[in-house]
Amino acid sequence: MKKEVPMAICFILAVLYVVANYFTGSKFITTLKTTLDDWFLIVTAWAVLVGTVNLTQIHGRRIRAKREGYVFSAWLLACLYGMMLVSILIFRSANAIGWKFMYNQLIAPMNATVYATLVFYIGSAAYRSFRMRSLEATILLVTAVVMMLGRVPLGRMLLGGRPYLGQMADWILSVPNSAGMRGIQIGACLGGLATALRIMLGIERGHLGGTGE
Amino acid sequence: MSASLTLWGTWLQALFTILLVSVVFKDNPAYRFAEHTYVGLFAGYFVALTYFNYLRPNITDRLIKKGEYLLLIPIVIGLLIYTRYIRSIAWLSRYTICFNLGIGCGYVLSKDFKPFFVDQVKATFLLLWGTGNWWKTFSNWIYVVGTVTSLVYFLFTLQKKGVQGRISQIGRVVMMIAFGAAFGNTVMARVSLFLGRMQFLMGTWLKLIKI
Amino acid sequence: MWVKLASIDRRWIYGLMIFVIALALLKPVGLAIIPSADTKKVYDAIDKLPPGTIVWLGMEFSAGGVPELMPAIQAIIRQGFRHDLRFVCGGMWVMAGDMCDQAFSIAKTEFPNKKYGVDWVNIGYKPGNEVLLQRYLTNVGEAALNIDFYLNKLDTLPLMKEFPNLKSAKMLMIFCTGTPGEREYIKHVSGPNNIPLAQSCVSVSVPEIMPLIQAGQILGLLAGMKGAAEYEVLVNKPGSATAGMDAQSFSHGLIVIFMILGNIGYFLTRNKKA
Repeated sequence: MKKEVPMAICFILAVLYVVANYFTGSKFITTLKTTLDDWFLIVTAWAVLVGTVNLTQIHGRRIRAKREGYVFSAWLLACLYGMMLVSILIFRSANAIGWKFMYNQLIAPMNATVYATLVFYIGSAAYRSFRMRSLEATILLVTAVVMMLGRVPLGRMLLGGRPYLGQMADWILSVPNSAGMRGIQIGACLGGLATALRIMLGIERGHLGGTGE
Repeated sequence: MSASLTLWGTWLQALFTILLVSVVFKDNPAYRFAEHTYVGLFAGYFVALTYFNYLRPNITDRLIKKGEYLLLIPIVIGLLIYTRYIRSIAWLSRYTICFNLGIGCGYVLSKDFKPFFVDQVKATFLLLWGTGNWWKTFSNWIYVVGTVTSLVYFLFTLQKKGVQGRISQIGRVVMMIAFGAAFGNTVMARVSLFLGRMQFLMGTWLKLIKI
Repeated sequence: MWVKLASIDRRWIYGLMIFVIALALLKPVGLAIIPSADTKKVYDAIDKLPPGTIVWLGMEFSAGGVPELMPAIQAIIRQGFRHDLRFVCGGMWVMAGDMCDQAFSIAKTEFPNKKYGVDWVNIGYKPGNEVLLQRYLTNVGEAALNIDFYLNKLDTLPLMKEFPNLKSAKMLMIFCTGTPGEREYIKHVSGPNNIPLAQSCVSVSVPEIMPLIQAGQILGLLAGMKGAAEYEVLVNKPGSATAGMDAQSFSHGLIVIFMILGNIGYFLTRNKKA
């Protein structure tokens, strides 16, 4: 029953939501759905510490075993619990100067910088791997070049003020790209529906694994 | 924020930006220090924000002040996820997962079909003649043929031979155009991200440019 | 020599990229930015809204999206406040509240007559992803536990008396970098309730959003930093997006040059091997 009851809950909830979407006249079903939506927000909120526990486990093991870089792991846990406890006990809200300092001067800029470093890898990847080895690779390369030059003012400047590269880039985006993406997304939608159906019916059980019998 | 605090903050921000960017040249301890600082601070920030904006008002306002004791049910379901870390009772975490998945699947099955299948297919029914503009007619043909052929490409149950093979080939070409466009836009996005950091370093920190 | 062309050390590429971007920022050329049709659609849609209309601003992004999205948000706030529009903002992403706080920092200096709670409200982040949107459709106050990002009670804010749920918004303007994002808004909010939805997104998402625009599910799109720069031109207040377009242009040019060099080296070494 350790798997069957949770699977039954999953099935009942999914069916309830599908029924509630199509039978909107029933006050009981609508109220039940709204209550369950509320409960979903609460369940998600209370699961917030999962990331913290995982990080503590992984880095705690590294510190205990004194593996290479364990000092950094200790620093990470100090930052994690320091930020959490100082925010909750001292700052107490997002209005506090301390919170705004930590967010505006450290967290947000570091978050942005981590993504910003990808530009170097993209540039290096474009140089190393974009080779005209076949017709399809050539099409991909030419489209990428048209896009990169057409979507910035440089494209217009290179053609002496004429907007042709930009117009070509816009047409590529709105016609062939959109057509290809639509095909992929329709496929993805059907795949998502099939997966949801499989989970609901208990055919897909991967989410139940990793927790014992 | 006072001027001196802002100045300290600017220098700290510049230091961590340079430390994080240094990894592209070579992995180094300074980068690892900055990376671990970021991960720790961000995880702590996320927990604290959820606590301020949701957990604390849930307990103080709804549970204690208004006496909505029925909320103990979702609170317990949410807390059951932490039983994953205790092997003997780890199976209890399935309740949290299945509760969330059940609602998630319900929404996918009830809400996804119309906007992302029906409406998308409807929008593919474009005028293939009589638009009054030859370029529009040509574009509509490319659109319809492109959508159909890229869908045919994903019919893996049929062998890609003969007519189906040729149609799939056209679909591949259309998808290569889509991926080329995606790559071009990805470059644009990544450059913009780095540009933002350069504007901070050169403008706010070194005051070489005016933002 | 041709072998070297096909295998330039990546650190040279990185160094050149930093140099080109820095140079373009130091000495901008001032390349012309011409607003596109998609950007104008969004601008015109907001322009047509009567004064006093409430617009929902969905801050569905993290700090990584700031260079591309924040200029667009601030340009829209400027346009909106000039037309006496009112804004309620929030989001499913954890940084939604802080992003809104950062966006409305221009209100103090440029629109001192606009008051928090009357002209704009920042609900901030609440957990739940798309289920949060569904709850906002029934009752924003209940779903948000009656508190905003600054822990003010929502029922004490005058604007929230006219915004009981998300259907009270006459337009949705969302800023997205990924999931959850526009698809959640389309399936829960704009689609079933016929509320116009416009979007500003990072450039990387533009290709996958095009089918939604073609299907009429999204009214208009501000595409990345380019779209933000175009919007700054339309509201007549150039900012960081406009300032960055030169550097963006030349760095693209550099990457294209490297791609061409790499292919020249490839063909010449391939022929040599043959």
